[in-house]
Amino acid sequence: MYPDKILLQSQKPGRYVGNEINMARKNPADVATRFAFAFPDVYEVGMSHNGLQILYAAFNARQDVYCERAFAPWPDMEALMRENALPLKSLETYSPLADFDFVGFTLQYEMTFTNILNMLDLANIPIKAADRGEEFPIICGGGPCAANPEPLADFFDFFFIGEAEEAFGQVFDLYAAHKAKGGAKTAFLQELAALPGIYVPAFYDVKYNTDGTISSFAPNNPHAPPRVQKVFVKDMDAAFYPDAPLVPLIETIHDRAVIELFRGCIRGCRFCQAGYIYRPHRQKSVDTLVSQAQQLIESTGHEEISLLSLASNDYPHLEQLVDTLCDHFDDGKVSISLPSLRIDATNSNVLHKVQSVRKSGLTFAPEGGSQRMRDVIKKDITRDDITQGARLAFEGGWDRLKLYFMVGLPTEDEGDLAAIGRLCEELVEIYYRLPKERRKRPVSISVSTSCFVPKPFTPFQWFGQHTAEEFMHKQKHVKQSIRSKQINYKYHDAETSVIEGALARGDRRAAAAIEQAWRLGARFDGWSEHFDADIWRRAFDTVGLSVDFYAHRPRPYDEVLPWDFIDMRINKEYLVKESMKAMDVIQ
Amino acid sequence: MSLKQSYYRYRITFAKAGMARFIGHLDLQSLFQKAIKRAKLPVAYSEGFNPHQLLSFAAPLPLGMAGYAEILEVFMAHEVTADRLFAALDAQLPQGIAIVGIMEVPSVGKSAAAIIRMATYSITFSQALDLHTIIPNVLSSQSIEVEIKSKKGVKTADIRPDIHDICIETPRSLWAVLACGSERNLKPEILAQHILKVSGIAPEDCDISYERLAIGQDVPPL
Repeated sequence: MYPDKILLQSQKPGRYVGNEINMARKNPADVATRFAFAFPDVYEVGMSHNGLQILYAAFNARQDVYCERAFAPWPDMEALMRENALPLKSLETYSPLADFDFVGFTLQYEMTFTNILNMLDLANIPIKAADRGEEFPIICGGGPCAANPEPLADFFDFFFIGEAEEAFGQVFDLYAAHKAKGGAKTAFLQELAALPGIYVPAFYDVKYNTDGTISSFAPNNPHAPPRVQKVFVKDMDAAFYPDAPLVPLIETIHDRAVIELFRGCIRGCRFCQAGYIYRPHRQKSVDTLVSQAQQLIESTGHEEISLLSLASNDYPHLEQLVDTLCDHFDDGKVSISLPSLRIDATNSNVLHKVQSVRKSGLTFAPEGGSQRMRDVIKKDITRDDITQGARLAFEGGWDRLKLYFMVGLPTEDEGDLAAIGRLCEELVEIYYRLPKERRKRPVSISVSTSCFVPKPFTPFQWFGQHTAEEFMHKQKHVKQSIRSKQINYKYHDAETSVIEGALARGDRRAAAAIEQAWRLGARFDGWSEHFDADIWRRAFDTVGLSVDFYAHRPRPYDEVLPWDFIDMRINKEYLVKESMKAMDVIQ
Repeated sequence: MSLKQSYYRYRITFAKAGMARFIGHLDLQSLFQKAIKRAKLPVAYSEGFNPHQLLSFAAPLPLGMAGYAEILEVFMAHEVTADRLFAALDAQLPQGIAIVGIMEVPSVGKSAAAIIRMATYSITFSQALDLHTIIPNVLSSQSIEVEIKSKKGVKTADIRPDIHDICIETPRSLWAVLACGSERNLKPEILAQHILKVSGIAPEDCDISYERLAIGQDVPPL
């Protein structure tokens, strides 16, 4: 443990001591492989992430592996650690990260990239793969941002492409054998590179055209395949799921048990990367889910169970599942929450069962204000769905609605933006059509717009993202379209979204900008109180790169994209066709 | 009140030390709720829209301080033997928290929080002080005026009435029985800083650590 004196000077010492319920306790000397699961954000965020729970338990289910955890220290703690020359340590055994065989980062969000470099540096591990000798851990990564790992290529030894659950077994087997032999790191990485779902960036060379685009991307090592195939769990019912997840001892973002209804999405919203990279759609049976829910409640003591998926409505047995869960937990002391439920007539029954206690907020994500806009992005929800849903919600006693939209979508014009305000005003009117006695208090509608960030493996991957100025202009437009006092409008920071955009579609050279931003002090860039747009602008300038090239530049369909070497099991021609269809909607 | 009459009330004494010192008061409450749930104990719930377990702590322990006889009260809907409650709950607690004792108390009557009046602290200084001169002086004073900083500003207060007893343990540590509770409360830091001040030592030159040894209605004289 860090010394008391240090811990007590930090804002929340509980972030740095571990000791949670269901924490894995092993003797590091007894295992072949020590893996540090590194989450590049603060403890409370990382501990709310279900992927961490799954992989932590799955890795530790192997007797020959001890998986421990590390999170990004909050800036107050970073300052204390640097002042006192204390390295970043794991929470389980307080071992310095440099002592591990692997340090694995989860790549959930581009704006955590500087935290990755910072964590390596705090662990006294050189940030660049090329500078790390045999004595240092192997650094790996995985998660949605590994769909385009190129901006991180310089820092990592390998990436899991797809769902790491499907690949880690072979990685650990190979490593144990390799360690027993006493082989060199490169030899191990060569063997690894031949496995499906593994990408070793050092084994590939990139060449560029004079205009800065990629001219060729090819393996420089005979063990590395020209294209890296993503791997995924085939049978969700048979897939490993933790029966005793970690229960934090301090409050985290989500304090609840989680079951996963399905992976992937049956819809094809054109802006949504998750909808494409998590294909195919695979679901769990009601029986599996009920038995997992029961197991989780018993092992954690949580009083809330959350049903996780990209869109709960698309689970075909939702009502049956909710009914069965309600029966199982009929003492009424376990509540069920559906974080991504769309309200419609078919599920208003479900709605009443899950939220009978707390009539708190309900959420809609129309994403686009006008029908035309929703058609462009293929968001399969109509004005009637929204107004009907709101009416049902109001009649059911809800009076707080949250609506999510995006600004900066392809083909968007002022009419589409004005439609956001109009739609929300309409919902206010619907509320006031309720008989007076059924309106306990004024309705409250919170509207939030995010700035559209084009992502790899979507039909919009070629689209030139808006500039911060364009975004801000559009946010103003939305604001002006809202007159009702019952509507509260919030919008995401435009400059953060532009940097996110530049990193999401960056190539290998973008690593220099990330490193420079980190050297200039960028940390926790996803947190508005820490994000500094000026640092990022200076960072890109200093290393001779342009945000415009990565974020705002539209790409021709025949350009070699940095992530083209990944076989995401999505046909590129299909994406082109979808992209053209989206543009056709204007006519 | 009628509701609680039909419940069974248990007064649980527990220790919180080591790594568990960094769990704050609200988090501790949630930790016990989950432990009770995992132990499948027949805990009683409040009525209303958001039912919660009927449990309450006697006196919050400051973050970072170890406590060896903290008090928690919990209501059960059915009677449970103290032994069973002890075994079931203790098995579910994280390292650093342990049950010390459990006693069933009448379901009506003042809560533990309302009864607590004193606490015994162990205070340890990182260097030896002339405690054999200072402590008798403190105890024989009629009043001790100290400056206390709070959110509202600095005020002067007489802490002498809140010092029940002090006993020297080693040249750099002592035990002190101080007022604790909702009516009168004296933080051990304030006494320790006063001792440093009369010793002529700057606060930054001496680290001080604290432990709460006991809390109660009347802490036995040292």
